[in-house]
Amino acid sequence: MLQDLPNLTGAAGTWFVLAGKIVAAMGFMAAANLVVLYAC
Amino acid sequence: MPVKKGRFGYWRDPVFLVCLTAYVINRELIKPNLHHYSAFFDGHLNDTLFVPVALPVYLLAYRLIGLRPDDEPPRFWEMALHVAVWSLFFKWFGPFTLRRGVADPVDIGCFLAGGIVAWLLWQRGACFHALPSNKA
Repeated sequence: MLQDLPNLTGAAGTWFVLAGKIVAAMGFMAAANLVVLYAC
Repeated sequence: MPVKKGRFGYWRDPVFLVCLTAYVINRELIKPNLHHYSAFFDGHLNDTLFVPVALPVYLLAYRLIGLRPDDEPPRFWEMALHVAVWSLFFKWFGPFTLRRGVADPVDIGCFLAGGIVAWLLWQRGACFHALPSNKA
């Protein structure tokens, strides 16, 4: 059980990073869409 | 030996640059000199050019964020997903919630048509780079 802890942490970290990238991409999309809506 | 695949230029992509030039010409030269409302120049042309102009910029942002794993030309699902999101945002959320923009279903067809033509041109470029004579 304890031996598996680093692997579990690694997998959770990978998912956390991926979730962060998706949130960042959605934030960019929302901001860019608003710029296009009001500026173009 | 693996075939070297075509790399997408994002802001250096010819389809992006040509469509951006057409958008700027329409915005700065054609629209201000129109004497009557033109559905094509005042609306449909911009909507048709939107996907080939905007998609490379959005994909470049995803690449910089690290969400896009490579520099391949836009995939069909990437184009279709963005057309769906933009259709909802610009033709439903914008007009009905933010009171900005026009909810015209024809514009969604323009998004889709522009996206499909651009995607075909991008795939054509990828096929050209994949020819044996263009191997590195």
